[in-house]
Amino acid sequence: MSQPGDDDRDFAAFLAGDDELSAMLQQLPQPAPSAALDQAILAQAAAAVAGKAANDNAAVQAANDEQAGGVQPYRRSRWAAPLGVAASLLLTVGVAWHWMGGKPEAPVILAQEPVAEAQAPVPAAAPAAPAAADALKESATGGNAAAPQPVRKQQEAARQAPQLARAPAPKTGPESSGGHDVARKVQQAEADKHDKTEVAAAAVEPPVQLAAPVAPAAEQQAVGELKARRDAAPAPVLADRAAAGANSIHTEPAKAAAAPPAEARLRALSTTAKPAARQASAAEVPTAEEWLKQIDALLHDNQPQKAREEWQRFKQHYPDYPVDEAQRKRLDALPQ
Amino acid sequence: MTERCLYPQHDALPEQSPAKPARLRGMHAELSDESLMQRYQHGDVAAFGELYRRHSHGLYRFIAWQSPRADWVDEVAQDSWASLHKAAERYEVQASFRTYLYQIARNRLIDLLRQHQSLLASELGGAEDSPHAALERLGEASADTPETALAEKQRAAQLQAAIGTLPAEQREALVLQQFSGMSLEEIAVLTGAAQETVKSRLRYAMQKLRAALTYEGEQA
Repeated sequence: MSQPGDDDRDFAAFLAGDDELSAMLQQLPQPAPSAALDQAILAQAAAAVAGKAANDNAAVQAANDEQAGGVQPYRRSRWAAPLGVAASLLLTVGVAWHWMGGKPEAPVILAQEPVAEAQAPVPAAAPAAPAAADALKESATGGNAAAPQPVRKQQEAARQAPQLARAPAPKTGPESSGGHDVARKVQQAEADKHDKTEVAAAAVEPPVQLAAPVAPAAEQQAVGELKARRDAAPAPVLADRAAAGANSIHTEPAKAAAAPPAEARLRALSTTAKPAARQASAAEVPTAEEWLKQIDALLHDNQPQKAREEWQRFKQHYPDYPVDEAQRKRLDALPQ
Repeated sequence: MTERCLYPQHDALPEQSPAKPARLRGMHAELSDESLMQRYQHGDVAAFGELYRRHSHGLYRFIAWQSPRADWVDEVAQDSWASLHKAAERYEVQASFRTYLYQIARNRLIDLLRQHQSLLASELGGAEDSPHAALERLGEASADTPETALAEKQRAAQLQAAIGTLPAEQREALVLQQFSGMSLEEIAVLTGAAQETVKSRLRYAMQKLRAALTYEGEQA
């Protein structure tokens, strides 16, 4: 009778192949792969290895070709789009630079502005303009726009004074015309202003030296700022010239109220940092009302010749001031 | 008592390929299965030849004993070696190479069994095409004399019939351990069972085979 210990020993002998049963199992005829199967499997493996080697060689060859320039078309196609975009941008910037650089807005012209710029209202920019203008200003001045702001403000105000005098009221909304129309109108307005102010400066008095305290670099920044402002939003000087008879001076409080925060900041800076020359020139020229009173006083004093001279000067400085029609005819009729 | 090799399949390794240089053959013979497989990954066909020499017979026996149809054996064997090549690039030395190779063949067999389950059920009665019938025919052909041939034929037939009646899991463990020379640990890894479970399956298989042989002997 077998015991549990005998079973373990028998099982261990079975596993080790030392018993009768395992011997019988080992003597069983076993199947074996045929020679044809052996050859087929070995040939299959050899072919697979050869195919892999061929693929590797092809990959290496492709890499070599790429290094030797054989795959240049792919590289060209990969760089074609960025190069095209870069060339387009370059062309656009060049055309824009050329277009803007040829306009009569040099700082020399600013120096010939009439002395009435002290009373010129600061134009209220369009509501959408300040942010873009500030951004462009920052980029144009290299992030250091705080220092030259007063100078730029004066120059801008001086340049826009005659135009604002002709404009009936500043438009608070953006112009419906495009950026090119805006620029064209600005150029036209500046050309008109330039003609008038040059005549006035040559006939009446020497030009106010506004540009004297302004450094060239600051002037360049001011010009850049003006360009950016034009591009960003239409200015109020683009108002319809048919309504040029209106008094723009009386609209100054409204424009100031409508000015955006950046514009108000610029106004504050300009008023706190006005150059001495500008203050002096403003003191030399009286206001239109005072000037008219002085002319009336000269007439009362029986000095028609001097009154006529003052009247001529007045018209030079305030060409669009709404003088009473009767008073205008009376002054125009003064003898030479 | 004569000392026998524990792994009988190693006794019947095929001859080396005559085209293989002796120096290269000797170098490969010293390498482990895993090292040979890594060399094969890098395109060493001779390494594959050495692996095939070592494991082709054991794998073929395993497939033949586990396959329900004789005409599947060559196909499964060839597919298994082909799959080994396809998976060579992903091969990592984690388990033994033999376990890896047998796992491929086992999965292929399982796939075939699932695909042809209904067909196999209808052929259950006829054993003409079974690998066991082929083994019987092989046993008949190997007999030397008429007396010994008759005795060996009877014993082989009894043993083969007894193996054929074993449950599939016990038969698999028996074939892997006795015919393919796998250790209990390797069988556990291959079949996904615990080592003690494998041991129990082998113990039950041994007991059933002994009982069948004893019964047949008493009947004779």
